[in-house]
Amino acid sequence: MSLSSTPEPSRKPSAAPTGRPVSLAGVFTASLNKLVAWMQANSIWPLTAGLACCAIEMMATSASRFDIARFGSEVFRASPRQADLMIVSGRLSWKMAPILRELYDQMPFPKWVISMGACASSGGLFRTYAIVHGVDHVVPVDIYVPGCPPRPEALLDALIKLQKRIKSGSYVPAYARPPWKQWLEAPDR
Amino acid sequence: MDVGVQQATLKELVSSRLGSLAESVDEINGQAVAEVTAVNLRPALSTLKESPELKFDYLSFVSAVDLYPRSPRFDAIYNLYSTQRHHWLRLKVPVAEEETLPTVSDLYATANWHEREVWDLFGITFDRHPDLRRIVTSDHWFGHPLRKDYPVEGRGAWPLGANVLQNIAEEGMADQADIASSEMGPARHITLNMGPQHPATHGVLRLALELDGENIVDCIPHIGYLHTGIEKLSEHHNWTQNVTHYGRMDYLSPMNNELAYCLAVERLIPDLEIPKRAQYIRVLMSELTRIISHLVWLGTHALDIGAMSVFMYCFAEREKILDLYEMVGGERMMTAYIRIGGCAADVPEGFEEAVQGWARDFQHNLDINHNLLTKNPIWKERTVGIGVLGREESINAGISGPLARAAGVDWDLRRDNPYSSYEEFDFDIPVETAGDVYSRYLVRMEEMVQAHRIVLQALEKIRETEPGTHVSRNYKYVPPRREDIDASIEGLIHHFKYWTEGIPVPTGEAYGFIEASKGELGFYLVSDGSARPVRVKVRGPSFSNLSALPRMVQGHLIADVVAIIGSIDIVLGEVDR
Repeated sequence: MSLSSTPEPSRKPSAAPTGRPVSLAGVFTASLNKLVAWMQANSIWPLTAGLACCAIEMMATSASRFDIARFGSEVFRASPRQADLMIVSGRLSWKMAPILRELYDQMPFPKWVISMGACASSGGLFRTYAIVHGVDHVVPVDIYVPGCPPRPEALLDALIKLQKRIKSGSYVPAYARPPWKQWLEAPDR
Repeated sequence: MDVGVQQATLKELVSSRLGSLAESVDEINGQAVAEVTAVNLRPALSTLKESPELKFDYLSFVSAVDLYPRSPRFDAIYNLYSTQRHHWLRLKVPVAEEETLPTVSDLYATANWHEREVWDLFGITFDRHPDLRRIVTSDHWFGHPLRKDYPVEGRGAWPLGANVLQNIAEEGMADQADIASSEMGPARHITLNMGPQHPATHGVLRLALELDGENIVDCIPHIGYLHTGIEKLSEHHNWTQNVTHYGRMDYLSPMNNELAYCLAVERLIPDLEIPKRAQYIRVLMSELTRIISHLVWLGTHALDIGAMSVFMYCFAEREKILDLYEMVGGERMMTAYIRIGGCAADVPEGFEEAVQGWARDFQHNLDINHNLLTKNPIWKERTVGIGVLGREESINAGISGPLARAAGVDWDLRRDNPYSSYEEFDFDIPVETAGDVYSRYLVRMEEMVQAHRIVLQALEKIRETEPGTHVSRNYKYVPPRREDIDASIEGLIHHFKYWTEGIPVPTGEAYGFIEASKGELGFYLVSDGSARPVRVKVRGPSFSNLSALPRMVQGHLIADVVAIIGSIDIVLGEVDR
């Protein structure tokens, strides 16, 4: 049997071995989305980007009592290239702002941001010259967690809410919504 | 101990030693203060340092006060301490806006960073300073934030809105360029940037390392990535509100910060008596705070070196103390429980049993970590002989706390200048002599045991005092009791005025200090008799301790930098403030 004698495999899909019609492939694509969303939601890897007091509560969340591993997020990554979730934990100074933005830019898509605590969400107590009054001036925020600092349960709640949104399949991350969408698509970027 | 007599003799000693170098020597709120001119500053400091009776070998901080519209405008402050004689002295140097001061960084190594900070925040220039750059604000900052004409919310140098991302991108690029150009050594050396986002820098510390292979030739720490402007904000909030800020400064030991601030304010108010019960509760809480701070240090330090399980044990233990925090203050970390005049509330019912329940298991739980680390050959390999700093060097560099005690400096403010009735407690002060990472580890481990001892003693003492006396009865400075608000209109008016106007703290200045978990934590306060401070200077131990990092890491490998940073136990919130 020579190679040349074998017929070219048809580009058209043939019937599945079970004899079911091929059109079911469309259904399979839809459930792949769901499968991917399910996998994304249950293995959100956060970035180790502790800024201030809230970072200590973030560490407490990852430790044994609150055990963030129950929700698949125990793998805190030091490199933004391997992280899905940025937890901005603490006050952001203007000096740190460019670095935080650079970290965000280095994270692969899709990516989410939790703004943890009053300082990150609005500047909180510290309405001073040195502090960014809300990290949403710098990065697109998906979920805000109130508290000063928020309890670990509050952070877990934010994580679960984010998981639900991702699992729903219809959630548009903050970077893909206005005003960030326009900035992302701007030609001079 | 009769502080008055001691201070009087100190005042005479200082004025006799300084002679004509000092314009005046006074005693303000029980603390000796000498005024010198800028010309006489260096001779005066040398005299104070060399004189055998005074021996002011330790410079606690250098700072300034903007007294606009007075002329000359600024007062530069040099706070001195003697680690042998255990007495304090403040030097005041009036400086006009266009005048300069001589640097003292060759006399006291710690002055290097402190003078940079004064230049950054006040714009006072120091002649012949080796490296006078901005330190906490970014290099391209405009203005000097702690001047009175600088608005608390800034000058809008960073407009929020469309341009913000453009601005910060340019800023980031400028920073990168700085590393590449100014810090590069000889051609065969490479410059490595470590941080500000790095898991082992304990926050947002950035180090520019100059490397020869993997050996560190030089290290330049860059701080200020968490600069919050707490000192500026404190001038705009009243005395009682300010308690809230400081827990967020050294966030590993919040109650220590509150205690140091309240002690400083109470020093300004001579007729405010703190009841014994309040003092014992403060001791109890500050020792619990020392333990949680050391537990976070141990957990993260071990995690950095590669011992994961220690982190889990330490945090599990810490949670138990946070539960105690929650019982007294209602929150896990930022309780604002210690207030001016005492504590916010009495200890709740069941607190004593809860503390005893925790205390029963503590020693056992600490032993788990001891068994994992103390004789562990890998741990010793990574820590023994690493990051050595000698005794004299560490005093000269302004290092305090466990770091100094690991280098053989037998000095603890709780014993040597007792506050809050510490003289009634029985505890030992661990001192090691090697001055390396391992001896710092041993000192802190033993400090936790001693803190545990103090907690149990404090519990005994609290039991002997009368319940409900957790706060002073001098209602000029403390809020009215709930019963008084409900029963009388005067009580209601008092309550309203107390929380809206704040308390009028008498004119003057004072330095309040405590032995915090990281070293000498002090608050230097200046009051003009109003409800808001004129100046709050925070002397954070981490700031001075971190400034000695380049001397500790030279000649070591990159991997050792991680161990050394962990052993200094820095909190960037306190370094940058």
